[in-house]
Amino acid sequence: MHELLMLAIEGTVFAVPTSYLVEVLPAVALSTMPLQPDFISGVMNLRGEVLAVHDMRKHAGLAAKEIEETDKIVVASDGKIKLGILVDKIEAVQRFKEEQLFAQSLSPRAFRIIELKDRNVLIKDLQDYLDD
Amino acid sequence: MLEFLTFESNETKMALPVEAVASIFEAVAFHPSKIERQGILGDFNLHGEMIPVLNLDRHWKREPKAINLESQIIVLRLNEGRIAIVADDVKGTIKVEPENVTNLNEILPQGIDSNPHSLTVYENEIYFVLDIEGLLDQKIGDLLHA
Repeated sequence: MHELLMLAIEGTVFAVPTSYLVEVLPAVALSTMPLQPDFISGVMNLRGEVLAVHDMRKHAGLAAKEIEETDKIVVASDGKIKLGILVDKIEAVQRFKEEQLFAQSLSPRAFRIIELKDRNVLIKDLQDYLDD
Repeated sequence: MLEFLTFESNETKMALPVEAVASIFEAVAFHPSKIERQGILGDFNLHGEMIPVLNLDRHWKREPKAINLESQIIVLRLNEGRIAIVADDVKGTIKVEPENVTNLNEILPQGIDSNPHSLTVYENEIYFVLDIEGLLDQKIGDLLHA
């Protein structure tokens, strides 16, 4: 059984395995750093800990926009480092059986999976996620 | 505890180790360059010594902010000489525990250019902690030797 947090960016659905999930926060004003990578929206203070907040729009190749009050920051961790992921909307946590995900992966509108690696956000096709 | 001088530069809150700070002066005493020099705004005459004033905005590819009467020059002590930077507003000093200073390389993705600077949080504000030696490139290093 795969438990995934479903989220949306400009109507495009992505999913984060709940094993990465720390918490979901309303979007806050971020501090920008000189020469920050363009896929980083800024940094935030989470109870004294500084996190880099990744712009999922940039990672997904979508048009950039200003942070809005309705946006959310998904705080995720791979067990080594925490980071934030800025998204438009959180949908729900859903559970999928392996065969359901396989069927979904065959759809041209299949959602993609967000994973963490080397302090970065990776977007994976559902088929690749299932193969791993 | 680590002690930092805090200031604002182009709307970014910044911090410098106090041991690196030689002195602070009003920006009215600064001589802008008539000729553009790589990464340098001009020179500051400190008791006859001409100290290059580093252009942080250009170095960081930010939209430059005009120097005004409220700006201040922070003269920094480096291994190989002295250099100055312009601050919009020098705030004061803060003390933080070393474990509360996070190197940017620890939070930014692996594989991107190594970043010598750090971040710290003090009273809920994030400060960008400058590693001035890490800012200097070969050309500025040459200026210090000139």
